[in-house]
Amino acid sequence: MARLEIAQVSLRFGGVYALQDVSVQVGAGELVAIIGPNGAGKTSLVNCVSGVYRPLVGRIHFEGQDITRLAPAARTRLGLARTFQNIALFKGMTVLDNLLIGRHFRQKTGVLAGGIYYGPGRREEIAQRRVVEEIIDFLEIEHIRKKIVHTLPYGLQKRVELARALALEPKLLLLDEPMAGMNAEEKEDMARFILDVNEEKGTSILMIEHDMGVVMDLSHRIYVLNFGKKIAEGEPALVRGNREVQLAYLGAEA
Amino acid sequence: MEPAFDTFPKLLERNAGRHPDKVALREKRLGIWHTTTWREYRDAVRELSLGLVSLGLARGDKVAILGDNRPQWVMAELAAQAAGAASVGLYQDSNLNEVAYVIDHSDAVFVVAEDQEQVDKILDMIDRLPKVKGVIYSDPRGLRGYKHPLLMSFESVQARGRQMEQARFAESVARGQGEDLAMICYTSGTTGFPKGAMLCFRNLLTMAGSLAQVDERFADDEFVSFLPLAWIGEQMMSLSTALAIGFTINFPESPDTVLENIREIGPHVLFAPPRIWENLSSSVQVKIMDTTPFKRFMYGLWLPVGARVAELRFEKKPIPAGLRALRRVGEWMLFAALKDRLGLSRLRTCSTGGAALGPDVFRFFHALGVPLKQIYGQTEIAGISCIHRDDDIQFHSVGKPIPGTQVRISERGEILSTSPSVFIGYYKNEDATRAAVEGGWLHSGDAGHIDERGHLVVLDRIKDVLRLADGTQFSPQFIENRLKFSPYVKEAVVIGKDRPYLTAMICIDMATVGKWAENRRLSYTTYTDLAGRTQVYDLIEREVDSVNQTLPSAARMRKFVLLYKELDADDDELTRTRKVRRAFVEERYRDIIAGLYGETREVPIDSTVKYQDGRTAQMKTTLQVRPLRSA
Repeated sequence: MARLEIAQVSLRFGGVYALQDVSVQVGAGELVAIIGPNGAGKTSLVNCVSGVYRPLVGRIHFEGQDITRLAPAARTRLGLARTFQNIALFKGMTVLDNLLIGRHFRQKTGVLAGGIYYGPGRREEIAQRRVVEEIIDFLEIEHIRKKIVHTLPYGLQKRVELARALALEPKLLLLDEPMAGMNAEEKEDMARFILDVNEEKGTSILMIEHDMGVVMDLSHRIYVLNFGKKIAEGEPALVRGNREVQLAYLGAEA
Repeated sequence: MEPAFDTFPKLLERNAGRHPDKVALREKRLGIWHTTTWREYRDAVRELSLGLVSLGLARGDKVAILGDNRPQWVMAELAAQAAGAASVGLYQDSNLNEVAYVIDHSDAVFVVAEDQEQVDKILDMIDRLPKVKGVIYSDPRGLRGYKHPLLMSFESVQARGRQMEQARFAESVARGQGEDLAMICYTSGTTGFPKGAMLCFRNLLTMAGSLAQVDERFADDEFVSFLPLAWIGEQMMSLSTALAIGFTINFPESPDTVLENIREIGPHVLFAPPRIWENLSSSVQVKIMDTTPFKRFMYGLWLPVGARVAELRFEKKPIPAGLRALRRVGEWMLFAALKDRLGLSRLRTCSTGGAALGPDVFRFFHALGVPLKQIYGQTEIAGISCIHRDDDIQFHSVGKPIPGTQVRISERGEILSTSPSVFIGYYKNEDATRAAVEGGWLHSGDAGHIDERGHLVVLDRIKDVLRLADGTQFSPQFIENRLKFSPYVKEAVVIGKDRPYLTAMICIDMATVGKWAENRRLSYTTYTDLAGRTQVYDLIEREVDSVNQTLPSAARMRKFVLLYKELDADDDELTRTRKVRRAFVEERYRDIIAGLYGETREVPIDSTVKYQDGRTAQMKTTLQVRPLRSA
């Protein structure tokens, strides 16, 4: 059974079909990329999975459970986390606080118990902080732990967003253009972190990315969308050689 | 040095016996400082040492160590030495070829590598390393899938060690002697292959003892270890002195958090190369530019007071009572807060060495009341031969020889020194050894003289004191240091040997120039783009002009260019200790240099850039050549 199963999903905005009969599977521990030209429906598809959009037809199953109609927060509790194309962090808060908020759904102490310094509230705080510190170590962001997010360079903000998604301890991570706007060195770092998350933690990853080098290097499998339709799928080498993909995505002369 | 404790492992045993529960090492992990007591330190070393012996490490073997500053680094070194072997430190940012060369040349049988990054380097080159019997890693992250037969974890070696008869450790330590080879220190070398300087325990410990006589350290001191442990300077503090005195070594959380961690620890003793002091001083200046007008006013008001006092101290003149009182107010209004921000409040003694530090940076710290001293030495003399004394500091000198050390100047003007710390020789390179210690004196290759106060003054490398075509003498390094004091200049290379006039190739400091550009709403994309801006050229021109004013008119720079990339050790342009490899740089940028001495105002560039993993990229751009009016 696939960890994520998107079956024949269609999505329509007015008269425009953003997605038409798209099916995608992500297995346990698999790193899958979705590529396609601008407006192909990539982000719409991710938004259907994370719960921002409800598909018109079609079903989405996560670990066998139908999540098509589930609220976004409920999907998070099942083990789904995402990052955004345009960074969506609390810009005025520190990196540490942003990550601790990512742990909020795991906290059991209420306002009252949490307000008292001693006792269960503190124990839980320490336990949550430990998880967060392990993620900080994992993504090598020790040096910016106490920095306010908006003061950080873009590439680091992207990394912090990945960190917050990891704080949810997801089984499936949705990454919407994790490398957009990064320089070569930042991309290389990010690629290494994505691979580490996938290999060390066994997290399944569904990633939208434009950088072909990254996509070909990292992904186990690739889906290609064009005008809301799936035009190809398969291993990187296979997709690269596909004539239709070359026409649609890489340009007619490729 | 007490005769009974004439090796590092013996000192470790002594310290573990005398104060077992005192903190020996501290390391920040997951945001918390974790401590290791002397007893735990010794036990970890014993387990690792016995583990290595059970894997076949014999007396006289070598163990190579590669990684960032962590407790496991120093434990591995002591474990090797306890087993009668010598340690060989490698710089953590060495590339594949450097790693392979040093490991193979030193005949190391085990390699202790920190993490996946370092293990990858060794496994990539394993075909060229037939003598290696095991690769030991301490951080398992990312290594789960690795199945190489030589690969094993730090813990698994320690676990093997626990199975051994523990008394064998004490016996093995007792067999060690002061004359035993303790380590081979590969000097980064501004030319050619690195050379392995062999040092025995007696070399290292007499140096630590002599240094402590003139620059006091106490067992309760805190020290932060953040410079490469492969470098003799860090070995001198984190091993020799720490073991001899018994103070606490703190390891930062990551290389990026060093300054923050220094502030948390508040060290009593600090040793840092010029680069760190320059960074600290320029970071203060950048932040002052950014702060509130009131704070900027206070800075402008009090810093000159501190500078005046420092100046009088340098000249050993009495300080008038009024000025002294004013300085005290300044301490309260500005200096104490500033030092606290930098983590230098508790600092009792601190030093800089490895290269010359710009006088202006030196004055800056003394103005704050930070007792910065220059030290001077070579790997071949266990790190240090001269240091400033507390009450006798002047910025252009490196102080007086430490006890037991003699320094003199040869007829050629070269600095020669001798002491019980002069090394055994270069490993497998007797020609170089003979050249270095001719007649019992260590030849430094540095030009210098001894001034009227008896201080040693270092000018430059002998081969780097150059002449223009008309015979005018100049020291490029001196001019470069002046240029580099500008917060906007990261690196500078001054050219002029056998040429009609001086020119400079300058690398801008991306952080400060970027900030400067932002403040002026000047948009830019990459380093190359920023460095090519006319406005940036104007900015740097003003900086070069002000340096030119201080130089004799025959030795002023006439033209300069801003390089399209930073000089980088990965491109072989700097040594691993970040000194410019002049000959290499002049060869590599010969087109630009030709442009500097031609009539053109523009030089086309087409070059390859090399990344750390060995990949290359092509770069095409055009460089402006800017003539200077001040010449």
